[in-house]
Amino acid sequence: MSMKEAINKFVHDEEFVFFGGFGNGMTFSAAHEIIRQNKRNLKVTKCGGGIMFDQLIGAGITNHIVTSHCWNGTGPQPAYNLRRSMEQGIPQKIIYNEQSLFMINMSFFAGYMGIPFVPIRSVVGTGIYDHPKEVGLKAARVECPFTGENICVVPAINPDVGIIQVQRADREGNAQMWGLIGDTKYGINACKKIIVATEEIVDKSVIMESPERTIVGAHKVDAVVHEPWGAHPSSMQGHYYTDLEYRFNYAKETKTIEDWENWLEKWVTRVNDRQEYLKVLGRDKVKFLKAKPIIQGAVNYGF
Amino acid sequence: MASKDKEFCTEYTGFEMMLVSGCRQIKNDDIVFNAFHWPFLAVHMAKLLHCPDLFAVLEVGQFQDELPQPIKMPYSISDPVLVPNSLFVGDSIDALSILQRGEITIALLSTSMVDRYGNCNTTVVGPYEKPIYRLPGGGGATEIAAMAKRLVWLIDDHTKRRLPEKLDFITDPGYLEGFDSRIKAGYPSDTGPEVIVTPFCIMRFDPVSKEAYLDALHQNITIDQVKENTGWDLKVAEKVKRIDPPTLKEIEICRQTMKDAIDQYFILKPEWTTYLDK
Repeated sequence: MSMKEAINKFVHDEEFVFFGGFGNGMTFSAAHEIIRQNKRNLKVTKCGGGIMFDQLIGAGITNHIVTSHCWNGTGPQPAYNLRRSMEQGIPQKIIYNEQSLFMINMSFFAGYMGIPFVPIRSVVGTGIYDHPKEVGLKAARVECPFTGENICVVPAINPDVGIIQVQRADREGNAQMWGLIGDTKYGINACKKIIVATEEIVDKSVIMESPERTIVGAHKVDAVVHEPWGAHPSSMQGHYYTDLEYRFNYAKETKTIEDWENWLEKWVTRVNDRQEYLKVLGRDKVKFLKAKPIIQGAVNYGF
Repeated sequence: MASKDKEFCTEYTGFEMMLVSGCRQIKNDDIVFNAFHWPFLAVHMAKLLHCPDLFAVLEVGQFQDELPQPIKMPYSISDPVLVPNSLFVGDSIDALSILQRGEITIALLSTSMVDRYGNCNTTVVGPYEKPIYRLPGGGGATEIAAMAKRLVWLIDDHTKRRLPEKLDFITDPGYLEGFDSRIKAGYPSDTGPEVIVTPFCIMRFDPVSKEAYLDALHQNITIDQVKENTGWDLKVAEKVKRIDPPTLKEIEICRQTMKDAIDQYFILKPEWTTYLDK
């Protein structure tokens, strides 16, 4: 299935969408297709929103972000669309559902486990705990029935649809990711519908050679999209490195609303799909970012 | 010829002094939570200076005790170079659980604003609903501040704005309202901010009130200068210590680290950032 078909079929206005990848393996290609299809009022979540959420905010796609931080990690520099939205209501005022990194990971984990909440120790006394507002109760304190300890709990997050970018998957959707996974495994398994975008489509037998690398099984996956370079400008271990120059330039290229509109047109709305995006990126840059192979770690699975 | 380890540097910036002072807080047998942004540099320096065995945990889920060879500054915590150079790679819950289990002995965090009780704000300046500046949010710093045994704040500009009496929003918990309020909120009693390092000085926290006070000055800085640039009526230790300037070895490693960081867009050159708000 193409990314266009997958987003069209499985992502709908007003749904709650999870995006995988913490710095590495971010689902930029899917986010751009969502912008092209002009989905509206999505509630979106990922552990660190980064410039992907900045783009979804700037394009008016989302009115509610559930994340622990949102910035341009290169520098770091501000995410200007986030700032425009929160400070001036441009293009609209969004709800920033403040999370801490552990809190959001554990909420995904509760969703992954199919339980309503999990205890954590870290957010009491902070503004993150104290700001439920329109987002509803996002943390509470309960007494532990076993020790009597008063402990903070956070609720499960179960998004309507989740999208991940992985190194390889088979046609059925058994998806493998290795290296820096961050929140991806628990986040994606907490979702009701799943789109897997993959650098490579492999035979099922390849998956079975190292099954512990599988982060989500085909029984849960709704769409498999063969999408090489889908995580650019983030990295994908074994495939390409982070495009630091692009991310650095993103800040100055989106500082004003006019700059942002130009950026969006150049990289998103005027390209049709990821292949065209790569043409804009240029062959030299693609060559520069391509990872040099480091093949290691063969082990004995004998029995 | 005197050894570079003993001879002191005479010309250096406040930023370099802050990094060196921060780096000196780390011990070789520490288990450090290695966080983005300036702490990354201080931990990198510590590995190359007095902490060759330092064990570091990163929030995407890596444990490591060696720098990548040849030495490379990762551009961030999510740099793929960290994977084939780690002892363990799991996920964020693995990394943050090691904090929650109380196994992290020290963590450094750099941030925009810290108040008198060592709380930090990276969320919003001004009223929450009508922000003057919307900041990015805390990420894993909330957990690091909550659960590291010894927390070191790095503030790269010693001003009233960066060290206010009270914050508009607490993103990361220090001693909250002071005294026993942190413990009442359920945080383990052996955790909490230990020092605030700025280009001017090192502050520590009163054992009872948990308010930050001036403990030691960097070279050529006066007590008045620190007091004038701090947002609250800063108390001063009975005997304020004077901190050694960087040694030649420290400054050499510091500058090399900063150079590597510029190559990775980790530090931005001033001429690149003319469009940024101050």
